[in-house]
Amino acid sequence: MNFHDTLYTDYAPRLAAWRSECAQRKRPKQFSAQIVTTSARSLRASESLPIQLRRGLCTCDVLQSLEFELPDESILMGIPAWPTLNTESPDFQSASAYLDSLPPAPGQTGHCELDLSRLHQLGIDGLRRDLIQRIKNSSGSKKEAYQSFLYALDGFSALCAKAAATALAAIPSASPSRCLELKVIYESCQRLAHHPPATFRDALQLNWLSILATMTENVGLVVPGRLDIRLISFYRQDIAAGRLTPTEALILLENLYLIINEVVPEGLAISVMVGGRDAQGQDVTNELSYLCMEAVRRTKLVYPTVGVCWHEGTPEALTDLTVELIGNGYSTPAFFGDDTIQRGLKHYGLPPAETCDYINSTCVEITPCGSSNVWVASPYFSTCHFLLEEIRAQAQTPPATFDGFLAAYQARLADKIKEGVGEEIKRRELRQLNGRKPFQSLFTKDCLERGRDIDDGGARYNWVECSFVGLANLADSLYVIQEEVYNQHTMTMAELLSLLDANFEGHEPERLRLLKKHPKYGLNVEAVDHFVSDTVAFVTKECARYQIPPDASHFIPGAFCWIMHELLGRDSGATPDGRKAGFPFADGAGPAQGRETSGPTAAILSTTSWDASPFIGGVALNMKFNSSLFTSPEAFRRLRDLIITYLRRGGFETQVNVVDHAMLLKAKENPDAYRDLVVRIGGYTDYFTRLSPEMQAEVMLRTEYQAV
Amino acid sequence: MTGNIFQIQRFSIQDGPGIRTTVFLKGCPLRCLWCHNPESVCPKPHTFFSPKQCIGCGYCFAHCSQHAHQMIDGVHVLDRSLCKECGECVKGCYSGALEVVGREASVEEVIAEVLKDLPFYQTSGGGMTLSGGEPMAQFEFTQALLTAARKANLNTCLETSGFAPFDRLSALVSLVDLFYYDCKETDPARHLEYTGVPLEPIVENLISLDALGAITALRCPIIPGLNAREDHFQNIAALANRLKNVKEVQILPYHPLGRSKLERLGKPDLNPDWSFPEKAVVEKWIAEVAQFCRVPVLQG
Repeated sequence: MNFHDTLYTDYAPRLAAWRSECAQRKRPKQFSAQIVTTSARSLRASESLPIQLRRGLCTCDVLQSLEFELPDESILMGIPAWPTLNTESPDFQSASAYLDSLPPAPGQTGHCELDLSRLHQLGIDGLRRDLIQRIKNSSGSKKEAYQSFLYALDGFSALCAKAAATALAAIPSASPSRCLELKVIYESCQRLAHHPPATFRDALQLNWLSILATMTENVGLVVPGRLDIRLISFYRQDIAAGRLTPTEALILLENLYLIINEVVPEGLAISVMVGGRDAQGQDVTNELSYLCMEAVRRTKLVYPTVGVCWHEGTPEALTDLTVELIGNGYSTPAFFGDDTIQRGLKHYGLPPAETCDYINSTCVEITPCGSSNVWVASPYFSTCHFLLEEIRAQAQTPPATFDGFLAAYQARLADKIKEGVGEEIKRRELRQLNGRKPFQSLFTKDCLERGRDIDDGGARYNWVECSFVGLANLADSLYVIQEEVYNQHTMTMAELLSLLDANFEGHEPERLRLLKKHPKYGLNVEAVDHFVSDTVAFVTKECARYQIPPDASHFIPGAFCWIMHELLGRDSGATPDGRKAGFPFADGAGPAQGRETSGPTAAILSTTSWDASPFIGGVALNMKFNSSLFTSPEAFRRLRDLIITYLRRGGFETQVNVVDHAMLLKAKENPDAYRDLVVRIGGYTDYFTRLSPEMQAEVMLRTEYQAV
Repeated sequence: MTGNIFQIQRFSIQDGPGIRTTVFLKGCPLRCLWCHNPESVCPKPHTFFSPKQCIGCGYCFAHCSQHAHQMIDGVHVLDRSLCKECGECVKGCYSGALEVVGREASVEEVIAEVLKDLPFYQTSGGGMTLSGGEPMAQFEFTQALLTAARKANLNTCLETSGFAPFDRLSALVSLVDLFYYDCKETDPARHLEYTGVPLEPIVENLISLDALGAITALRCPIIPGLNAREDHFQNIAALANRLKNVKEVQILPYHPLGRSKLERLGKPDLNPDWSFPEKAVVEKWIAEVAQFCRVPVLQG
């Protein structure tokens, strides 16, 4: 019997059990608390040293202090087991106060895929020799940088050794079959502590351990990234040598996904991307692309999202597999428009060899792989909030023409952008003074070549990506102002303001008129859609006026929202489009909630009526359908055709929600947010919210039935 | 040229190949007991009224010359005997309580709307489907729409009861890629009883269309208690087997969703007890037709 056959005999049911535990558990991690005490101790002991060395020592100390726990189900190491800390204790309070007293190093972190190629080639020991050579041959700040990188690398070596020791320590009390697994984990981590990864499992283990290590530098959201491209040579060597079967590779990927769900806090996003093209434009889809997607099917948890980097040469089989998952209610797979994104990256000066090598760094914000100190979502601009400010400012003496009003609004928007850039520049400067991330620097191009930390201008790309939230509500509101106040004179600006200030209380007929009488973004009506394309063109031009330190980097727009459409909407008053105060804004680049009444094709045409490529900060179109639509293979093909048409027309990213029973319940409770939810049964189509309560109940009964 | 339509539905994915736009034409000579589009029967526009959506703004009270809208004990009531269907009341109603169903539209206007989704037809091999109502009841309009769609290289489907003069149906053979041809009831007496029109010309038209090379799919609504009968299932299969160019048979199980439309139309629900058949029952129907039928039998 082959060794690997023994290894995974009973693995599938164990993984499934772990998966269901994982789905239910909310495991509070004391991850940052432990870092606080260790960091404070380390930094207190190094006060006489320069910041670069102090941070190197600190990373080393934190990495060395890391302990692991290893669930019986896991065949990869990677769940930190921090002792439970009493955050009320004087020790912790003192450590926390000490860190707070340090000079601030604010700003966005992470949102990147690391460049592990050096470890793949040299291993830790080889990289260590390289660093020692560099220390010898340099002086001043460079020498300090290399020294700090070396501290961080030594810490990482210790962390790998600790992982190995944890597996070894579990052997005496393990069952015979588990012993074999533990031995493999031990050998793999032990190898990684010094040498390059030798196998697929080594490379996967290294990917996660390096993410974990980066997180200890208070770096948020480092992602596995393009696993299929990075790991394919390991996979093929193992398969050829008979060391690995595709099933085992799939199990390892599932295992990685489960670990991510164990470790990453709720409410975030962690990305894997598959497919796409190489620098010569050839499709790079490989066996692992499919396995990364299949692992989603088997784990079906919130992390990671697996994006297909789609282009005309993407194999049909990968597209169909992804569509099949989406149609069956998996909302984590997404499609990215490779043409559009590469065009955008080229626009921002990436050379052809690099435009193909990007990652959606969590949700849809694009950062170049392995070379990114890009700050995403910095800041979020609430476009409608500024509109309300403008209405208030103009209420008594509004401009004579709508164009005059629009120009005043754009001037305000330009001011806000300037203000926002100013804040980010201040953060960047403070970060360069006070922040250092030697471990992340070690795996970010060109920190090593330049001998500079990522916080000190070492990274190849130092863009700041901002996000404009509520574009659909903005377009809908501008159209209403144009028609009601300027063209039809049905109300004055002051009357509009008083309606909004009253949150339409006592004026429901007027609110409904604003909401229903006028066409909306998402209905494929040029007269409204152009407000989005004009705004996009305007902010793209404005953002291009600014240069970000330390290397005159780009300030790049996006329309990415995360949960901010809800948060900013909650803080915003009523808007002229008939949206009440506190109601969420539209998410991403799609139509506002409940206004997609001409269906998904119209929404797609609106969303692709403007050039999304400069919006590298991310553009998403979320679509939702009732699960009753997707019951036949033909229906899945229609969904595929819909998505492909979106991408061909310049779509940036799309995710599809196939709506289940729970969503119907929500639609029943809050019909205004689900006016566009189409249900289809036996050839009959209607908007769910238009059905009588009895009929809704019938439909829900049906959905429930189908779900079984 | 203009015609009466009541809906243009984009991203229609169950009325022919690919992603389609289905244009629903208003007016129908049949009176099927189970009709799920009751608003489509009459050729003229209709006022849909959903009193639960009324927010009491008073616009319709002020703008109805017939005083058909009244507030009785705090409840908005529309007296249909007074209503002239002029549509004035709807113009200022944004609550969704009042809607006009149906409008006159030109061929150019409809085709322009249909062509908006051309990129999706090109990806998917889709196009335009005409449904109703009964499109054949507006023959010239139907013919003009199909001609325009053909000119734009769209795939075309026509959904019809087949109750129309044969020369009109035959004139469309070169313009229609697929006929969705209804097979509602195969017993002549029952057909007359259930639909209000005779069966014989419909079957004759089907056989003659088939002889002309028209590609068809038979659409068979199955209503428990009416036509969910073994003899009907066998007759459906027998009819399909007589055709050279039939692609498939679709079984459309009854659903009661037309009922909410009846409410909005202010029409009585004559069959309040009818409900969804069980999935297993539908599968049995399909199996019963399939065992005698030489073409695929699917749920539509």
